[in-house]
Amino acid sequence: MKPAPFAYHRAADATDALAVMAGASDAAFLSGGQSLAPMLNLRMARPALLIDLNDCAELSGVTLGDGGLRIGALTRHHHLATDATVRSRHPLLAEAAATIGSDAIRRRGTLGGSLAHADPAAQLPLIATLCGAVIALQSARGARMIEADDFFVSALETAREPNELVVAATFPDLAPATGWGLAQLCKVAGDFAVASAAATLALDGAGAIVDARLAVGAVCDRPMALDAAGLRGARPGPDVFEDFAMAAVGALDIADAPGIDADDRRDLAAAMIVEAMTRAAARAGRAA
Amino acid sequence: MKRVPVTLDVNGESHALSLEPRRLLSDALREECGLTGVHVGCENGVCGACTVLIDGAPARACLIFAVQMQGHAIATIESVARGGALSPLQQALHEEHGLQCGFCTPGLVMTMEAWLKDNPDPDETAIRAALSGHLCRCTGYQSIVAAVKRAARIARERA
Repeated sequence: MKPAPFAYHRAADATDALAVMAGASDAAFLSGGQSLAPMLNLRMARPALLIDLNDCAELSGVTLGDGGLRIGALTRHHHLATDATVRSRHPLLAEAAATIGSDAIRRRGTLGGSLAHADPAAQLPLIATLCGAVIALQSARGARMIEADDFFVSALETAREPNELVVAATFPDLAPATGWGLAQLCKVAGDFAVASAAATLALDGAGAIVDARLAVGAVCDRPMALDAAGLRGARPGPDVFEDFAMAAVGALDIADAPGIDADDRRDLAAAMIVEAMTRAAARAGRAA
Repeated sequence: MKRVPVTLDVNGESHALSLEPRRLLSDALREECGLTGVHVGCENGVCGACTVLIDGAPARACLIFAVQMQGHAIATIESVARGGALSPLQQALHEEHGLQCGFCTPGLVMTMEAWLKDNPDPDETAIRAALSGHLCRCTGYQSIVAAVKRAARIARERA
């Protein structure tokens, strides 16, 4: 199918984009377009005006800040996956970006677009939720910051107001010697996951867990951070991981979905949690 | 909706067009520029048949509006054979029977031409991962993988 008619504005910079948005009644920001364009083609979205952000160079790039990586909204997935700074400072984010779609998708798709689109199975919302990333929003009237867990509301729904633009997200540094793991079950490489999980684990000198973070994707209407406080003091191992995973998915609101019932989704989510924790523990062991 | 002027730089040629903003790059390339080697399959970014290079990087032409491409250099499958001589990848696809109906071929050639420049000596796992963005319903992919391997070898021998 073809998109419904729309007017087009190629924004010179973010200030221009926000000013045009402030004066428009039914406009949408166009970033990489790798999710919005299919929705336009299918006429699931029919804005009267598209405001193209692709020339807004100041929205692109990675900066090292106090305690984290500040990543501009227009930064492409390909850049996240290959940039030396991201790969060394936040390898989990780089690995997650490398698994998005295919090369052609990663060359165009952007961090801000992925966060604003808020697909429950998408990689970057999962990692943002896991790490407690802080998302910077801006409108013609002002700016605000919001934590990822408060930003993602439901499937394709966020706390962003229509006139607000995601301008950046700050991903806190992983503590030294923290291990990380990402696990995704995809029917075909590059497809959205059926179930996914991400984990970070830090161990003390004796090999016991001192800090754990877990999040699951694709099985609820948004990425879900799990309460992992009970893992502190435990020794990493298959039994600990499996007990944690079973209890965690039992506490989640997981519904039947087309082609897969809730019980299977819970089983797959638990398997991804165990896999992510296993990978995180292996890396934490090497780093310590 | 009002048409807007757009100049597309495609395969080194300039095309001055007047288009609705909603016009997909894939449709503009086929219908305005006559470059019907750009194949349109799903219009969802899934099948990969419409893949072209934008400033040297692969992109789905069905997920970009032509109006966005002012000031960017586009390359389509029509630019790959030089003076009628097939590229190493095209020649290898021919020799390995890497296509039957040929619908997916232009898109995957564009992706792999760019990819082989960054990955001159790839293993099979990497080739399969790079091809995963392209749906082929004829070959079962074996012959395409063999062709990419052969193309990499030819390019290394020429270098």
